[in-house]
Amino acid sequence: MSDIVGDNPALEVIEAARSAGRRSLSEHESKAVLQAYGIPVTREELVADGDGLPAALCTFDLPVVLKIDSPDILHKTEAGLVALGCTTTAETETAFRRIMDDARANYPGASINGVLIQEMVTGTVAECIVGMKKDPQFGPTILFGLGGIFVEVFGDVALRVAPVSEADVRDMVQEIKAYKILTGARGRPKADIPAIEDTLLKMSRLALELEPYLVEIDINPFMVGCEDCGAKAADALIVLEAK
Amino acid sequence: MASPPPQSSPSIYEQLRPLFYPKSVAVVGVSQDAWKPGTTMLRALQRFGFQGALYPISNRGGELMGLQVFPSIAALPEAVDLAFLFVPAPALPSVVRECREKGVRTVVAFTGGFAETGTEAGRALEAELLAEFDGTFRMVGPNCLGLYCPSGGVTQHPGEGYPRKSGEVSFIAQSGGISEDFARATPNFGFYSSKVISYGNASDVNECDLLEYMGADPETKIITMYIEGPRNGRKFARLLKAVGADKPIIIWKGGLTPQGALAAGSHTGSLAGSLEVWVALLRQVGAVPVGSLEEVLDTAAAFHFLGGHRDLRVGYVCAGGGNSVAAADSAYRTGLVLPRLSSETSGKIAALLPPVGATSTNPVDVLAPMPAPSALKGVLEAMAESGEVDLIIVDRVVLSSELRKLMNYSDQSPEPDEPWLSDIPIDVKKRFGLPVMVVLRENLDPNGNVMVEAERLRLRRYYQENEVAVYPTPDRAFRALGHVVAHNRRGSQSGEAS
Repeated sequence: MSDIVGDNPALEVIEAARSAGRRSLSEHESKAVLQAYGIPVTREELVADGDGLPAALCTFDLPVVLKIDSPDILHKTEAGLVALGCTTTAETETAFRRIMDDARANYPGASINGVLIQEMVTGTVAECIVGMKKDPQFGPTILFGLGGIFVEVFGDVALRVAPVSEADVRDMVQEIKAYKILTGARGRPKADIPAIEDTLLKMSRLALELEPYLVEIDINPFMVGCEDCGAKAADALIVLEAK
Repeated sequence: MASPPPQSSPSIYEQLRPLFYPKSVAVVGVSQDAWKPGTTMLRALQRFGFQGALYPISNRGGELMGLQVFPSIAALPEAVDLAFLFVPAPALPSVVRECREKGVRTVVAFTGGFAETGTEAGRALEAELLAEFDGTFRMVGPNCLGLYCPSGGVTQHPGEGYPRKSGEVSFIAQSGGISEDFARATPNFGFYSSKVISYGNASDVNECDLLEYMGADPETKIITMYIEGPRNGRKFARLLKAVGADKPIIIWKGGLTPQGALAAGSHTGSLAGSLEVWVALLRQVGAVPVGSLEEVLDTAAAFHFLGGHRDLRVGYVCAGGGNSVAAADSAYRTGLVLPRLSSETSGKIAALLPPVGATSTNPVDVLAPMPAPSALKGVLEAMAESGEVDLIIVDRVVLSSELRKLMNYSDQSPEPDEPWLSDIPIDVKKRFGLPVMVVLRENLDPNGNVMVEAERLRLRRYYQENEVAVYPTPDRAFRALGHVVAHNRRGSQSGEAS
């Protein structure tokens, strides 16, 4: 496998996690894998302790998002270890301490890398889901849908077996029932559909190249901006095969 | 799809051709009991008219049906192209070994009792069987009903009465019973089979091999399949796309519900897979997904009669308003369009119909099932020459004088029934070069008079022989037509895109 992927930075991240006996990547690691395949992700910086916070904050425009970074805590929001829209330095410092303290107190066994300082994505037209799941018969399948109730309640998703073609990803986007939301229904701004299609193609390539290591990938939410504004993975989770 | 085979090993096409076109066939496991499966297979081949050398094999020797019985494969005077094996499951591995050592090119193993039983012993026996394979010969089965290829003179296990006439539709079926149902039904749908094969447990020859073969087979123009679970899903997906670029592939996937999947596990030992992924895959590769044997046959008939038809506009001629509304709903659901006719065309049609109760727009309602022949002819001609529709469906009109008599309609028509009544749809199709489909409804006689059904079936055959597709309900006609149009439109779209 190594001669196929060469010195793939994604593989370094995966191998490190597998060497540590882990079955999933943290958000930060997951995004590093996506980024290695050209999938746009939010700009973020991992800060291990409070001393590093001021320097890191200099490079961001406020507001920012803070999230715990730990491979052992998969549901950060449910655990209360996320702070959205921190608008001042003081507010950010308070949130940082609270997240670290709560994580240590409530997840004593968890390995904690620190807190992710993340740009707050603005101008989102649609929150989507882009995913990958391995099918026992056909291998990696690529999934697309609109986030929130559309996927969770209505099961409104488009699925294809990798590799997907340009025609396939066009069909995928148009196939979901909520497609009109992306094309500006009821006076909404139109979403950057080519950015979605591009990410689906990249996800297909990633899934096939790294297939032996992967079980599942979930980009949720995938924040899509208006026409020509691009899109970004705001959160991501990669589940790995056992070594 | 007929890609050049690699030089090193024979192509799938060359490997499997002896199955369908054998010059010599051995039937292993015959007996003096006329009803035993080996014997019925031998008899079926003889009566079907197999022209090559036929060798019955039984350790009792002697003579059977005028043929010398050989004690074993090894004792045959030649290495046969094809051996049909009717031996108990535990004996199968050793008989297959004998076939290999003799140089037999293909074998079909009918016996069940292998992996499909789900038992440790069954799986072990199948593994023992597979250990005999060295790439020099190919096996279909075990746990199958064999194959039927009229142009090669071979038929299935119970298939001595199958049609000798060969067609352009081939059927690849994981199930034996379903393959038999298909072979028996095809002539009633107006087309004939090129090849029908049931492949059972797919221990050696599987759905991918057969799909590749049918893709390369010049006689096969339309491919139909019944599949429970593929042995190699990824290769199957690739082949569906590659073969499907040249020939329509109509797929009935069994075991898509949790109960069906459970049944598939014990039927052919298949992993049925998830509904969502199958639906996505079939859409992605451009296959035509169907959900029953009836829909397989209906759809194959539509591809046979309508080929590359890709136009959405249908002119629909029916007797009765409610039926017209129902058919318009069917058309809409299948993506087809019943366009409004121009006032000029509508005027021509109105002049031919009763002034009250009929409808001269599309769908055209001729009011009663026994319109005057001249009026019916005029309506179809007006539609055909308008250029406003691309295909005409005639439904619920009684289309033969005999049927009108049997249904007590004769004295309700304003003019005498003409002998050319039945020919109107055929004539319009030929003169205007416009496809015409006919719906001949079933259960027409209130007293169950079988003569009515007989005349309907005669009429059906008459239309099919004259290249007019016939369906028993408008729903099925629209569903089949919808599949053909959607497939052909999709094909040209993706062609433009790439």
